[in-house]
Amino acid sequence: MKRSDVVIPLDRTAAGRMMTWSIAVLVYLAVLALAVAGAAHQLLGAAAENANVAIVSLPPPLDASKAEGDLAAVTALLLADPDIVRVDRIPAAEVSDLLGQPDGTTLPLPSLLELRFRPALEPDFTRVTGLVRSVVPDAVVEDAGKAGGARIDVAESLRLLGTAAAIMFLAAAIALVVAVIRSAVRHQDETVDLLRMLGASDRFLARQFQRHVLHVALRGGLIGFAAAAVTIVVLLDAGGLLELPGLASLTAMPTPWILLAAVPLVMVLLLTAIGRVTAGLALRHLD
Amino acid sequence: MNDQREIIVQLIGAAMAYGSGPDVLRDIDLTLQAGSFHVLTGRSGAGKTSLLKMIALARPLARGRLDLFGQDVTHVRRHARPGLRRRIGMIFQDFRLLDHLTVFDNVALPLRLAQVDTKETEMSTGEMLSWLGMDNLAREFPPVLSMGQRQLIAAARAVVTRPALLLADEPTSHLDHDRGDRLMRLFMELNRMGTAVLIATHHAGALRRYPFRQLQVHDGTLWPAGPAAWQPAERIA
Repeated sequence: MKRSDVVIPLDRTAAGRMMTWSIAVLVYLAVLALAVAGAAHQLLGAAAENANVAIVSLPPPLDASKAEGDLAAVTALLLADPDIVRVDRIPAAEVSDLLGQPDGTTLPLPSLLELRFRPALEPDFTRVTGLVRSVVPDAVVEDAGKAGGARIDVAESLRLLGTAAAIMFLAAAIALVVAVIRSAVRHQDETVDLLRMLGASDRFLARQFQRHVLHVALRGGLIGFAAAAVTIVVLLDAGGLLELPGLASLTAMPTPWILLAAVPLVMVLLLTAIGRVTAGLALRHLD
Repeated sequence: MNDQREIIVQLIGAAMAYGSGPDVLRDIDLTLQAGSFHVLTGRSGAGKTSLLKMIALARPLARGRLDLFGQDVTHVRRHARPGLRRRIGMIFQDFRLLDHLTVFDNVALPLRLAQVDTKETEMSTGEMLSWLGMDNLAREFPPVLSMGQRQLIAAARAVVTRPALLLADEPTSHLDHDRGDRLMRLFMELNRMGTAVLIATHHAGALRRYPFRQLQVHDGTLWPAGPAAWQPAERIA
């Protein structure tokens, strides 16, 4: 913006100068809050995918040669069940990793099967357990979705809190702009009066305030988003949170970043519009 | 004599008050025609500035009627004011320059507000600064200028649009004789081109050598004054 275009020097007031940094802080907090909500949403999505999954554990039989036969019989029995759509055997190497067995050891391992029930079905684990135990009496059937119960509760709370906090920070930014613009119009009453005497319309005057908000919000939005992006990457990396299901690929995907970048963008557009309306109303009262 | 010149300002029985206070001006009848030149005198606080503000639509009338450029603007709507004000040049007693803008940008401001194209704005502003011998100060900012220089810049800003009406409040109060004379010649030049000029001053003596009609604000009312005083009831034209 050319210097001569800035007829009302809004960046000269303390409130005007502070607005950039205040908006930066609010954008920073809103992006972080939304990132938390997004991550929680991602976790809940992953948990929902596991809701219809069960793990069947077949202990190693005393006679090792029977293991494959038991596995095949249980698999066939489960596949014949109308509620079950898929049965996958978990590879022995993965089972070994899961159980933390040191390399080179040859202790007998249980056989694990992953069952996937029909979507939207409330699985009857008692019946399935009975079915499996008819072949291998010591077999155990575990509800995979149940394992993350506490985590799901936390994720649901975080999703709610994160969204509410993001909305709150947005509302705070709006309140800030309204307060600063009202105060700026009052503070600049002599300049406004002079410009009116020189033939400036209220539309022109309101546009001066609007442009100021646009520049300040763009600067603040950029600073806040950049700081939030760095914080998210550092936190995810340092906290080992990338290991959590659903978050592993989150930072590598463009969509979450685009959604987060929409926060400052929406804020800039909203604050600019609010600035214009507030200035228009305040100018009307100044007459 | 039947004078057919366009009536720029007409006040009929006008009164003005600040807030709910008493009238500071009352029973004001005044007609200013295109090409007229009047000097408004009176003691400090007599109401000269208030009269200029009332004509410039800066203060509402408490009673009476104000016509500007042939239309009744007594209760003019807000959105119509900028168009009327762009036809009025006003020199404020306290200059009211914008300290963050250069001298050039201050003078060019009314042209920019009127959305005159950039080339013409630059040409008119440059010419105006040259006329006043201030072109060397174009890139300076008002705070570094003397009071006299600021007053000339304020005058340049008021006349750069060649307004139909020029209202000047003590326009030569900080100028030496030569500069004051130069500014008065600028006003007379504008006046010759049809601008109606109304200058308020409490130093009427300094303007005695100019052949302007004089008005006096006394006790909130407007009277003819000077060497050729009229009867109070006469409309002043």
